[in-house]
Amino acid sequence: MPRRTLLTLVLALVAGILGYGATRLALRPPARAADSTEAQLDWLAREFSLDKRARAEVARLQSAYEPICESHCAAIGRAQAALKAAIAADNAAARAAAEAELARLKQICAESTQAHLRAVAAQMPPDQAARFLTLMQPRVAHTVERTGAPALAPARAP
Amino acid sequence: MTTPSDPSLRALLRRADPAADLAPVSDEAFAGAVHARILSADTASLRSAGALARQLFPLAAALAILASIGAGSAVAYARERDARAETFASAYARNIDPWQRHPVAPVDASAAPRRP
Repeated sequence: MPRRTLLTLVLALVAGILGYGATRLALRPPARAADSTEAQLDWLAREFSLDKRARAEVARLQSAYEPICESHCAAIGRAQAALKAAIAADNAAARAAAEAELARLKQICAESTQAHLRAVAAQMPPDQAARFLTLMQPRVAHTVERTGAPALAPARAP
Repeated sequence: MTTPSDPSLRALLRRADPAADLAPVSDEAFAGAVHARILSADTASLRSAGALARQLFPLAAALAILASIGAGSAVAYARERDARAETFASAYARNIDPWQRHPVAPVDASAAPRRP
């Protein structure tokens, strides 16, 4: 291979690495924490092509879901405390009841979370909705123990 | 050069160059004229085999380097976007899933007191 061809290949390789590094440096992590609801809404809008109206609707869905989520959290906390107490008292009947209650709550939470995801997905264009559900469902799927949740809501027409 | 048989074209050529020779020429004469024109070209690229490639090498090298920068940037952008999606998707899941939002410590049944 001629020397200058080899030199060009090496230069191109170095340039590619430099391009990679420069882009990584330029794309620093967002200043806003990902845990903020606003940042998450911004990400949803950007990543899944939400227009202004759809973003507002997703924000409304999120606000409506908050108290539901909080009540589930509280119920789970109570059931967990009851289970701990039953174990501490070595009360088999109370323990079984607490475990059954926890399982029931777990199922309710799972279905509620999945329903919320589907409601959010319904605000997206169909292809983006499918991508959104593919991305999100496995992240909350560990809480689903049985099938039977309502069918996927049809996605919004483009 | 071949001579057009169309009278209007001939008239046009004559008007453009009164000294032009419009007499018909043989194929050999035509090829010879073309060859002579190539040899008299003011760029070396037409005179020898591979000359054009040698002349275009700097351009090709520059394009290769630019393409490499573009490819590197595209890979970095794609990886950054994937990482961002992963971060936000996990954060969003924590935000909407009560079991992740307020993790409940697992109950250790083996730690329960046992009656003798």
